[in-house]
Amino acid sequence: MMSDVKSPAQGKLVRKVVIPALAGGAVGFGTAWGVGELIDGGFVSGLTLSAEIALVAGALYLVMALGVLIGALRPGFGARYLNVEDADELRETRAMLVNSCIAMALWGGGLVALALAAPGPLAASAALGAGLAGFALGAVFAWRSWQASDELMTAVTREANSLTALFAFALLGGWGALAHAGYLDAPAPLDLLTTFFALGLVATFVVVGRRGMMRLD
Amino acid sequence: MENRLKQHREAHGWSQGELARRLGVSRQTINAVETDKYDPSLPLALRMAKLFAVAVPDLFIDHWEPADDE
Repeated sequence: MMSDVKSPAQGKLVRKVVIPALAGGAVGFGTAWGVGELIDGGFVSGLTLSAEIALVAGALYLVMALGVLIGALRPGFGARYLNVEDADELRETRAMLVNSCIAMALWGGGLVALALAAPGPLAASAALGAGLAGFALGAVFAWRSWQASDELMTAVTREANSLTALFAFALLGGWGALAHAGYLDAPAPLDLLTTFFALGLVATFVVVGRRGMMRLD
Repeated sequence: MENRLKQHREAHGWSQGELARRLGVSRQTINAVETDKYDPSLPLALRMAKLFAVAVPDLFIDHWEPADDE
């Protein structure tokens, strides 16, 4: 007879891997679907494909920032879906997390504003102003988050930034080379920004995984 | 890198949180070192050794041996 009682390892697998993975997938899908509905419903019109992709990327940053912010402010609840040991870990790293979430939200908002620039619904000057303000203010909060990090998190951040640059060199460099040779269309200006946003997430995921920070021990 | 941080910490009867507080790092860092997910910086390794009154090689074990030149 099979027992339905979970071993501690199974419980940890569910809490630390399965739930965050499902939540991440649902958030990603939900955000893309929501942005698609806004575009299809005519609430946002005149966007190029590059702008639509940037809008999804920016919205993803906003939603992730909100999710982690709620978790950091409500540790008991956040420990259920974030990749942390327990609620205390969220309490101890609250300053770092809150500043990081605000930075992510400002950067995401900046990208959304730029994505909505004319021929989208925002005047180009307003979109540029909001975008640059978001990026600059986000950098201030990112710096505050860095200051509140201990050496493990600064090491992870440094490694992720370095990997982002490497990925960007490979992807944008390859894309540029192929476009120069006439095999591909050159990236639109907004594609460059969106690529950096996306690669930052990928690099962070790779670094955290490679360091074994998603392992169950 | 293999290390004996957990054994020394437990010998002092400290939790990971207590050790983290004494060293001025997060509990996550202590956990990552103990589970061999992160090698600490040299300053932190020195602080750990000083706190437990042992030499760094007693805390962190490196099996490398210099080549015999003879």
